[in-house]
Amino acid sequence: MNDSFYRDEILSHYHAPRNYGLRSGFDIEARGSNPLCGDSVTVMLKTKNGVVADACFESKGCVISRASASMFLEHIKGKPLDSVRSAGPADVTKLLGVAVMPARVKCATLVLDVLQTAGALS
Amino acid sequence: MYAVSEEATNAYEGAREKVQKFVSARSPREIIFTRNTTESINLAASILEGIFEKGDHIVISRAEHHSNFLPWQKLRDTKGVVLDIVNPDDHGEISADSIAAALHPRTKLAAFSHVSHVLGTVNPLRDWGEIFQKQGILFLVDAAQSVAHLPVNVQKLQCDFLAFSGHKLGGPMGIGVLFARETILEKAEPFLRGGGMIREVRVESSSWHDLPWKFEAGTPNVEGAVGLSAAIGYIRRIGFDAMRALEEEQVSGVLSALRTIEGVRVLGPENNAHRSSIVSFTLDGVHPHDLATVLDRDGVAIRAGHHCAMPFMEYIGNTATARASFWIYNTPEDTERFIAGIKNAMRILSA
Repeated sequence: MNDSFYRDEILSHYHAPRNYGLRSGFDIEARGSNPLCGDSVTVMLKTKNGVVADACFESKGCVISRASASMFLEHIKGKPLDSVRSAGPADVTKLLGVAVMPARVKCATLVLDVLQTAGALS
Repeated sequence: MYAVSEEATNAYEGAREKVQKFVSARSPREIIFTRNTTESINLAASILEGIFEKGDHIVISRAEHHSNFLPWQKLRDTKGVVLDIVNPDDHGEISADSIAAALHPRTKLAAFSHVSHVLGTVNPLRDWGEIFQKQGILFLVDAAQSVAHLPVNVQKLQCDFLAFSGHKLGGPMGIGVLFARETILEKAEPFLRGGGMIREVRVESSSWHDLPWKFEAGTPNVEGAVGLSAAIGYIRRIGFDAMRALEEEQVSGVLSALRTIEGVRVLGPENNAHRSSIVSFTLDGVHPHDLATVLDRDGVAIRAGHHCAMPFMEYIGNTATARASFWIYNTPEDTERFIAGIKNAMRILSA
């Protein structure tokens, strides 16, 4: 195993994504895709007093898009929704802990792009 | 009006003659330098725009590169032309029968790639050219993928237009070629207007330079053309027979190795004689982009994605494939690294 890019933590989030599978009782839902590679993701958030209380997602696509969605949702649970609104691409890529080559940044940030462009957080 | 300028002009026009002979055009007047295949096909579409009327038909294949699809889609939207689309079969091949079946009494243009960039299929264009010729249908060939691998002869293909890019045959990026029949070019209006393409400019009206300069407005890419000419010389010295033999060996080796890996699905012809040096494939459980990233880290560069053929990807129900291409610089060690890299990617990425 031991690939320095596809490091164990990334592969773990890919093979066993956290908060995977859509459930009911969530108040925010956003979905979107990257037509260039066919990656698609559906994200759901449950908020309470402006804080992300719970999150779940389903995705189709590459290792990077799924692992970053899993890591990002785990990361924002318990944090203010405002921090999701103001998050930038680097907030996602730093969770991956590897240098993401420019051509793959869009894979990593798909989860954030979907949450921020669907108007779901407005 | 000075010596170095004349030297550059001679080198540029010498490159044009080299291209003319390379594709067996009758005259250098039929060779227009562009930036790339995309620009060449757009130029062809502009030259042809005037001949289309609402209700005329254009026939293309579903596996065309976007550059041989979007210019025709635009004519559909602006002129009411009907696009007839021929689908490749399960082996990525298009039969002459399915071409004939797609023709309409008002088909005015057929536009096909010589070698499919997404399947590797060598389309039997000489047979198709015969059909189009008999029915008075103009024939445009996208030779971007074939020109570095197969002899391309516009007389034998019986085509009216042929487009390719310099970088595909080892030349620099940013130089391309459009071959077009002189009789068509003479009647057509210029695409770009400005410097270099005029005979006389007056406030009331202007007149245009001779062919092919009428279609080459602005500062030409002299160094690109000269580089392309050198690349053609290189290919001619090696010869297509020697290149084909080398490519066949590499491609058949890779195909046999790929077919032993579980989960690999190879697109395109089963008969290697119908395949050029492109191997497009998918790998169960591994996204092509991840495969490309793993291979890249082993020093193996492959293309992964939709290959600018989204209508075809949608048709086959895939969003992306991985594609390995081979040329004269590849060695048996390259193919070994490629196959080892695939196994490595499966080991790392498969659950």
